[in-house]
Amino acid sequence: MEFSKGIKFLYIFALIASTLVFFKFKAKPNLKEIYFSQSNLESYNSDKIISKKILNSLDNRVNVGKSFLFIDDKYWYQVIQLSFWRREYLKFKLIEKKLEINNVKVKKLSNSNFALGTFKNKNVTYACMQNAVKFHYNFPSEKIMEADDFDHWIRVFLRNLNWIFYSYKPNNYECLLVITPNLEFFKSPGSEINKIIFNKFNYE
Amino acid sequence: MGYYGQWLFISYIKSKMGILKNFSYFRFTLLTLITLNIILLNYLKMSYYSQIINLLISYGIYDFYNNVEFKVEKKVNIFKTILAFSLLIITLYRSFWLHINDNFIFLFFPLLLISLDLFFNNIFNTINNLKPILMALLFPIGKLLFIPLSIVLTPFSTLFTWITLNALGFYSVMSGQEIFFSNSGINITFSCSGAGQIIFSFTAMLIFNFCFPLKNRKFLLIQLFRTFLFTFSINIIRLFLLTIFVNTAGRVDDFSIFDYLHGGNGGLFFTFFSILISCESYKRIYFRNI
Repeated sequence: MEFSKGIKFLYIFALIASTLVFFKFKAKPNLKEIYFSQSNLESYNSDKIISKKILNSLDNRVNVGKSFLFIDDKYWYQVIQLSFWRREYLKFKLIEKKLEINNVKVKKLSNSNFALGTFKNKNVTYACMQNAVKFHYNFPSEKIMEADDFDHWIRVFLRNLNWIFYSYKPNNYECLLVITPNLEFFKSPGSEINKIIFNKFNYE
Repeated sequence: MGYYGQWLFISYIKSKMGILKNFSYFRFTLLTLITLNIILLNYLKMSYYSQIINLLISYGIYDFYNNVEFKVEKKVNIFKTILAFSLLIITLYRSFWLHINDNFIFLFFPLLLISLDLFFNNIFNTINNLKPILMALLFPIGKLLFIPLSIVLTPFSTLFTWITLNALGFYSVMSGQEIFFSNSGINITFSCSGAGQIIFSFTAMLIFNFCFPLKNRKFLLIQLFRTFLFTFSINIIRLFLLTIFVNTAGRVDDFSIFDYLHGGNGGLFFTFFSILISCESYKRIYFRNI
């Protein structure tokens, strides 16, 4: 009888303890390490323009990592490391709400897209960058699917089933949120972006 | 000796109150599980529909266990205990990674309820009383049925909305799942097809049937058919209104009746009315055949 009572207690304890652990630690997607190519660049570690604390309160679909501020002759560039459980969770609505970015307009550029908006009464441009040529504001679906497109819906159905079991070990989607008043920044992807952002650290 | 006597007395009282003791552990754990599930659904920002369905299911399950007396097992069944514990640990382990939009939340409560039932109750009791587990499974089954039901319903919803519009003098044109009206139009997607509302209403009716069973299975089928008709018709009225007020969509400065009925709390009114009518119908069938 004592054994029975003990395991009953263990059962209730496991249930309550796991709840406390869940709410205490709130698992978030992993973040890659960022290695600086020059040691003195550690001084860039800053959140003068955007406080990292604002974004830390986002829900547990996104993890906020390091924050840097690069300043050149004309503009500032705030870079914030982000990681999502899945690519589909890259949605700026929450971030825009937290940062109070208004008048948002999305621009498409070949396979990438970025946004223009007003932040602290200044026009800014922003997107989440995987590298110098690949950046996204969101991943819009091409069109609204018809109900009789069975192949599509079977794919969606199977993907949803798959996510039930594998979403605890997803392939994280990581990117760097870059926000700057340099409105031409995303319009010429490649070497210029590398020079301003990606050459300063290793991010793979 | 005094201590020994006290121990004997407590053991005697405990043995007399064995059933109550066992059941109170069970009830406490069940209530903990229900509370935990409600908090989790709220934390994970589930839709109001899902949260209301979950409350209905939780009520049904608690009501069932409240009215059923179980035989207490005299011996601990090791196999059953290991099975229950394994299920508990696997479910809890997976739930550490729960996040918003994670579909595992639909299985969280049913899996833990199966584990709880296995752990505390006699295995024959569990097999003979599958109702609470079936009730808990209504939640994931509803989500599983959403896409297939939407595929079937979307063409019908589009067709009947178009017929209603033209019958009432609002000239419109239908193309696939789109309806064009007055230089604008609506696209009837899965969330507009009414599948969600029908699943919601069916779940409510099935829980009623678990708690206040109808005498005959035929009556339940009649009631489910009525519920389908009520809910489907009310959704057609909603789509009709959305089409008429489509020109108000996306208004920033002014109140938009389209946006209110389409997204916000306005959409819940229609579900409320369909549930209200369905409940009245259920009540009438129940009291007529009691």
